[in-house]
Amino acid sequence: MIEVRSLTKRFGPVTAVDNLSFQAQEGRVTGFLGPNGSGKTTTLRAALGLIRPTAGDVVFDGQHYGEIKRPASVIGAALEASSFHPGRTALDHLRAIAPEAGLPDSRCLEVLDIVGLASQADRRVGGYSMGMRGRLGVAAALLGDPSVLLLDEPTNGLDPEGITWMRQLLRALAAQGRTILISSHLLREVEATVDDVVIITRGRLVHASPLEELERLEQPATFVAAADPVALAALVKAQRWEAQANPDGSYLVQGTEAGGIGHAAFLAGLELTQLATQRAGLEQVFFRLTEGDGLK
Amino acid sequence: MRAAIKSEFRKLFSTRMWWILMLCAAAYLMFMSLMMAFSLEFSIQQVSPEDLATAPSMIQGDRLALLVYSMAGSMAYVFPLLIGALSVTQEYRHKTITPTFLAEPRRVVVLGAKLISSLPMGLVYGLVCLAATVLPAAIVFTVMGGSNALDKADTWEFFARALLDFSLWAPVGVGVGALLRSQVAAIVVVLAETQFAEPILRMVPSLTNWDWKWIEFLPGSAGDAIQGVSFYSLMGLGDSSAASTLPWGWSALVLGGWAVLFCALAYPLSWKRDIS
Repeated sequence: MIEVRSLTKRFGPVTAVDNLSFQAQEGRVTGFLGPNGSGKTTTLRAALGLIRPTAGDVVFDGQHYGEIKRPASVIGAALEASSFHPGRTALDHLRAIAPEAGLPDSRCLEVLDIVGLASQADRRVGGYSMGMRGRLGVAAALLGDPSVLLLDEPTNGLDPEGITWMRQLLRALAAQGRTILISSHLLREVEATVDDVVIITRGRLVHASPLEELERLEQPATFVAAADPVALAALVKAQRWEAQANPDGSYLVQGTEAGGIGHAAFLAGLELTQLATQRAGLEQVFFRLTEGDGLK
Repeated sequence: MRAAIKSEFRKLFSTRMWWILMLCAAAYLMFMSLMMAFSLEFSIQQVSPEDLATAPSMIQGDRLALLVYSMAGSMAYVFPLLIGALSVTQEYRHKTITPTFLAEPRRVVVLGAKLISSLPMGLVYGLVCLAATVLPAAIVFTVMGGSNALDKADTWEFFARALLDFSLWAPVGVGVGALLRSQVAAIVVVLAETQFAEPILRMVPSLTNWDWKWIEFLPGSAGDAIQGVSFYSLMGLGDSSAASTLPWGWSALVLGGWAVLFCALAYPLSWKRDIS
């Protein structure tokens, strides 16, 4: 289990992370979400001992990263897609890490095979695409067969096929009982991968729950169109629906279900040409949570 | 620590930088050594024995060969210094310092491993640079009928000291790199110090009558004093190596001390800083 405990990090006058607390559980994929610059990377770097927190800390099963012996064999991390020497081959990049994790060279080839880079092992990373660099980062994280994985924006630079591959890999790793924390600024890209969501904005927690609970915050809207747009406008006004008018005279109504609208139209003798419930999508919920300050 | 040193070796030898830099040093030294061996031997042969007897002792007999051989250390010490500095600054430049500190969060161990692994790298540079200087010059001296001094024990002692000199420059570079972190800054500082600031400072006592003893403690002076012979003494550029009052063993400690000093400064000032 990863525990972030009252973590605060200030860079001069800027508070990047502000008293942040959350947990990531074993056997689950936790999505760590927030807009760009909301403090996700700072939190991950503080967890890994790369930056010193102003206050609070992050522990892995009760231990700080720096206290873990051979940390690469317990915690795997991929932070940015560009932390490679362009003149070094993928295999040599991994071979430089392997001794500290107490691993033989054969394991380096093994993880390259897992991420589908085995045939590119002896190519210099300078010639790699963004997607291949992302895969190499994941290979480095997997090197020590760790029980905890921290991946910063793992879907960045991946094509749709790569995103699907990443989802299957992470689901399989979580099913083996590993703790996985992945950050993203796009809920859509990790929606199908994560079990739990932690949403932050401006370094503060705004929401933490299983994904299903987030879905309940979704507010459906109803699309309605009538044969007589003028009469529909009158009805919307009379019923005081919270509605957005479209140029063609149709409306998108918030907060009233399709049944209620149909009933009111029937009573008013109005002929409806369209009546449909529209799901706003989780992305809308995510935007709502991260735009409004302090919304919970 | 052993694992960290193994990691550092793998990093050093898995990019092309180490041998490209070494090739530059070797080509430069081969050219300079051929030129100097030929022109010095040629000039001496034009001079009558009586006139030669009044010339400085450093160019007489076997001393001449030694003087030319010393070009390796006097001119190419900047190369092990650079490879040491670059072994650190490359990590910041390409952000590989992140995986390095993830694999070994005890940063003092990483710095120690970089210092230790740089010593053999400096030695390899020393072997190649010496060979690139000695072989062409020895051939020129032999062909022109002069002395190549390779049969003298003094010459071989000089080789051993020159190798020690090269080995110690690489850790000094590690210290400079750790302190500055920026690749451009490290290269600029190394070149400005070794090619400009220190040569000028070392010239001052020979041009004036100021008795600047502290100059012996500058890294370049200490390096030349380890060798015991410096090519610069021929050019009148601060005869500190010949006149050095420090025994070569102490000079080795002084040069090693610079590496330790830079690292000791770097650790709290830059090495412990956030990696973001």
